[in-house]
Amino acid sequence: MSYMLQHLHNGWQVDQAILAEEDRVVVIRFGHDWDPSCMVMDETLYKCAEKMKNFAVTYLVDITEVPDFNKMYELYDPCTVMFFYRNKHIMIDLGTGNNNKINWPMEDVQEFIDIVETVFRGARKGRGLVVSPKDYSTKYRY
Amino acid sequence: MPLPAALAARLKKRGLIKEKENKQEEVEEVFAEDYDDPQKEVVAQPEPELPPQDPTPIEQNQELIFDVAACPNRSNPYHTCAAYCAERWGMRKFTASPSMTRKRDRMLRKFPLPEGWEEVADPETNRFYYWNTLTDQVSWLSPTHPRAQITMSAERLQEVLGDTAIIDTSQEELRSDDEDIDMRSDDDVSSSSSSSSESEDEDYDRRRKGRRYDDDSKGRDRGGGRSRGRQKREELDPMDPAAYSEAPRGTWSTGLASRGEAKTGADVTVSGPLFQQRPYPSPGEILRRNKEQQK
Repeated sequence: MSYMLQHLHNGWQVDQAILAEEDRVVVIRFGHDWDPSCMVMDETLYKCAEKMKNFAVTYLVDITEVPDFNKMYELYDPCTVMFFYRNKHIMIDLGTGNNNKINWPMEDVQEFIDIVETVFRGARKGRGLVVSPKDYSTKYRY
Repeated sequence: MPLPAALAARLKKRGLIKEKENKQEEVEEVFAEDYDDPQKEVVAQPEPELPPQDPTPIEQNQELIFDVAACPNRSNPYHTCAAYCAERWGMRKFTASPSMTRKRDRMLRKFPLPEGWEEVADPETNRFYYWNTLTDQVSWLSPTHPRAQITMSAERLQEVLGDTAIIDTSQEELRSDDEDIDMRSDDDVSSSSSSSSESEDEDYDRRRKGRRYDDDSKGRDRGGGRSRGRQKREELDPMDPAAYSEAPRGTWSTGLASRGEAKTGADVTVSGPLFQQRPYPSPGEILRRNKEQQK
């Protein structure tokens, strides 16, 4: 459970949190605080929140409390991280086939910071799709 | 209590009522008034050997026959058979098939006709129906039969209710047809061991036929095209999910995407290399869409 990262409790707050950021990437974690995979992800987010405060801000959204986006964002994974920049959804080519979100818990803090930085650099140039520095496809694992 | 028009006419034909000369004429006039203006003078002429098409059964060699002209225009909704039709095309012949007669005899043995009911031959379906001479009701099965549906005749219903009734009743019948099929399968399961399953079958068969004829007689003044369309609707495509699963029978627009009913925010219409490049709408956009959908 993370007490330091801010929770958003309704759809309007999510909308305003993204609209309010002028030049920072908004990282939103959709999931449940009690979910073990979400706990892992929250830990990573908490560790890197301080380091990337200049170019990214992190929020947590409980998908049971805020079900507004579940259908449209296809939120059926236990833990989903999505990036927004200037009210625009930024896609990342992670090599997994799903460019819309990170739908697995990341444990490596530096890897996550690298991804967010890539998103920030690409989004600032107006890109809607950036390529992750590391390929997360399973083909290297086996 | 005055006799119903149909019964009066019939008794008159049998020669049982002689003193009510004026009543008969009154009846005739009622029928004449139903016709359109151009046909009026044709019908108004008294032609004793060619009476206007009368929905009352007449007697022929000891059998009541619901006489209809073999007129090809009977499928025309704007056509009402006049005396001329019968003269030009002749009358339909009633031919009772032996199997039908056998089944009818068996049914009548089981469920004899009560007082006031007459058996009438129908040349259009080559079957017998049963007519209550007092109330002018009809039934395809013997009225004592548990499954008999005693109704007013299609002609009478149409006279009273007009075109609207036809549409309503045909829809109702569609539904009840389906129910019958269910009922029948249940019956088959329950009575498969009993000896009555055969008679149940034949009753069912009879009823189906009768109903179809009922539809036909109701729809015959409206046109064969409609009934053909209905038949087409009744046929169920074997590839239709309704044919092999619990899915209800859909209409033309069932399953079409309607506005604001997206499965996902991503653009699902893209394909090929763009497939993985489907950004989601912003949260504000989603909230707006959700609100629109709730309206």
